[in-house]
Amino acid sequence: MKHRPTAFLFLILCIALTTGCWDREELTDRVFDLAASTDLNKDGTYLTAAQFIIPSRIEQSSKGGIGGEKPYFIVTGSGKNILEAIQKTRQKLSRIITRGHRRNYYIGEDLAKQGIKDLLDEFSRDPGNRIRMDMWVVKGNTGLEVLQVPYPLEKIPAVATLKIHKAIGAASGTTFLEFLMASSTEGSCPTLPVVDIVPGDSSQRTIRLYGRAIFNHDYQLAGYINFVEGAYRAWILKEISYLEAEEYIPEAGGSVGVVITNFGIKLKSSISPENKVKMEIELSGVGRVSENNTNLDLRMLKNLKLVQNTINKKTSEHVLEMVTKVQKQYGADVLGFNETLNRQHPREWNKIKGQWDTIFKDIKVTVNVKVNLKSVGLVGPPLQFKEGDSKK
Amino acid sequence: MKISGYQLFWLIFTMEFGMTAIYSLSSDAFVAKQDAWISIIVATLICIFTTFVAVRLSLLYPEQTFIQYSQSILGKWLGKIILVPYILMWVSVTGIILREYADFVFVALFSSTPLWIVILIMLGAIVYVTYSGGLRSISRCSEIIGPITVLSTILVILLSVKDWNWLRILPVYSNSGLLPIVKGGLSPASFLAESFMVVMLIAFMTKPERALVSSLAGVAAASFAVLVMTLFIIMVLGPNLPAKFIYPMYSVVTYISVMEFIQNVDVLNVLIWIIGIFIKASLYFFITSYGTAQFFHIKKWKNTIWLIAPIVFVISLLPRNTNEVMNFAKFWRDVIFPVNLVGIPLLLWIIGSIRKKYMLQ
Repeated sequence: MKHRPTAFLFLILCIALTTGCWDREELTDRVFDLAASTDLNKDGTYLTAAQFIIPSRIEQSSKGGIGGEKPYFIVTGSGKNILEAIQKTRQKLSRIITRGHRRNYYIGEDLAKQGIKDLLDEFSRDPGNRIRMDMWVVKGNTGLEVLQVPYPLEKIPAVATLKIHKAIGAASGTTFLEFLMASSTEGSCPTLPVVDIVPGDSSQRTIRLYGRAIFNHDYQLAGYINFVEGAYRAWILKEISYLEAEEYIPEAGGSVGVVITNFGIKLKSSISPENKVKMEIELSGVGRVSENNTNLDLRMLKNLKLVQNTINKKTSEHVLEMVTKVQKQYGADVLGFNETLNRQHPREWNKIKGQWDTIFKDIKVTVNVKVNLKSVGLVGPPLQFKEGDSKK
Repeated sequence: MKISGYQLFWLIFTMEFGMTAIYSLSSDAFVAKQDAWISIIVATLICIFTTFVAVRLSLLYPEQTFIQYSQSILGKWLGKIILVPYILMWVSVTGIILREYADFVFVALFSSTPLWIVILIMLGAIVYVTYSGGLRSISRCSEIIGPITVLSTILVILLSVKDWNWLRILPVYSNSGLLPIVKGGLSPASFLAESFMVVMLIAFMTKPERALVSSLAGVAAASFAVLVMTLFIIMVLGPNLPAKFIYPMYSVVTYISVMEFIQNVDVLNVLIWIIGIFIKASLYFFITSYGTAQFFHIKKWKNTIWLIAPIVFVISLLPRNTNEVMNFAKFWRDVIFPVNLVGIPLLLWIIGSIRKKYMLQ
């Protein structure tokens, strides 16, 4: 008790010392980097660009509509490595760069082809960066170009790719870490999602999610698979939550479109003594008919079965085409077959892992899609048909 | 200065969990890749054994501290000689803990604050808590901090559930082997074995007979928490990446993002770890001061604080970079851990038990 006055004084002193911010690095001294890009210059140096928010304009546009002034601006810098390029960027910035909110990173096609090995380290080493980040390859264009494309729905265009990615049912923010995991795993080849720039509304251009870029073991771009192929790949890796499939039904002379959800996957591998690997892929899902351009009355079980069988058969073929393309054309295991084999036949895997790249090309793959059509929507036969037109 | 069994449990848990999870789960612990969690189980078994030895050793002389009874067991001079490496170990590890803490704070929070200020502020808190009430205030702090640590750890784990991929733990065993698993366990074991410090704490217990249960439960709880963290790291980062991170635990927590708005929870965690480190450093500081006082027969043990504090401060500033700090951790694992934490206590226990039996006859 006798210490009371001293303790009290000390407490007050603490308040005086700790409540203020001493080196005053407040919001007005920071600039938030929401997306950035790196491209290859003609002379072999890197060009980095970043999209920064202009906070005052964000407020304006939320109050009084779009005033014509963009709420972001882009600053670029080039250098022999990333840090030097950032240094050049900083020379043009009045505020300190804060990267905690950066979600997207675009890589130009030229750079991706040359290899992104030198790019990766900076992202995970610098504690200011987050490893939860999406990296994108820009097909047929530069990353800087993507940053410059405005997007009508989002105030900050960089948010658009993120949201597109999420809207199509993929997990967001995981691609960078997955890239690192794949490149550090024996046999796996890394991938990144791809965007490209396409002509959009009137004179405007817009960003489109193209598919997936496949890299080789030297972190160089080997090629692309398109959006649907990418979705099949995601199905095999169980990273998908939504997929549309349309198939032509020859028996009914029209096409039926279904939306698939509740995905499941079973991989069964087997390996012969001569190191011949077989892989049985069984993909399952729950489907719901959302478009029917045939004359089939889908209330009839027989017709629904027909549609279901055709869709399963055709989709199986498409998935197999994708797998064959990845096997033969790129020779890069981006389907996690190596991990499946490692899990299911660990002893054999230890023997063959050194020659996986050659073995992977000759894997015998069988695909069996089992989508269960559970609902046909609100109508049986298409409403526009006359009585008698529809096939019972 | 008396502590209860409950307090001893929380003391051991808080001092072990934070440091082990963030520092020892690095490249050395992940030698066995996705089987690192088996390494942790190996480490747990080792440490339950060493803790058992330490407690049984102390219970031979429940009224005395390690400093006193090692002299009773081995005689005055041999006992003193054997205590020298312990005093040196305690002084140096207190300094190194402070430095490890400051290095981490430097990376995670304040990259422009000088290290010595970060260290000095923590040292100030440690000196204050040790001077004001000694072991009693430290154990009361741990009683409050411990449950908070547990709650926040559970929170972090719950927030990360959706990033888990169970398949990443498979295949079990076949990609590593016995040697990497045991090797991976050594570094966490060397951290968990710091529960050896009970040899200085049991003398302060109101009911020494509860010491065995409390300390073993403390070690087991801390090991279990570390095990969960290890599984969590593997399930998020896969088998190959964790070994490449300096602080995989921290990197994993920065990765958490729930529904796009619960993000950057690492700051919360850093704070929890900091108060955990505070408990550990204070305990070591108390043990060093009290031990030194008993060693030199200084009547008022609190006077040694003013000698130990500057020494600890200087030691914490000695390493020139983070790699030298890690070299100390290697030295701790390869030399101090087998000799000071396993070898000598085991020897003392054997000699002490024989002596007691002989004396009774």
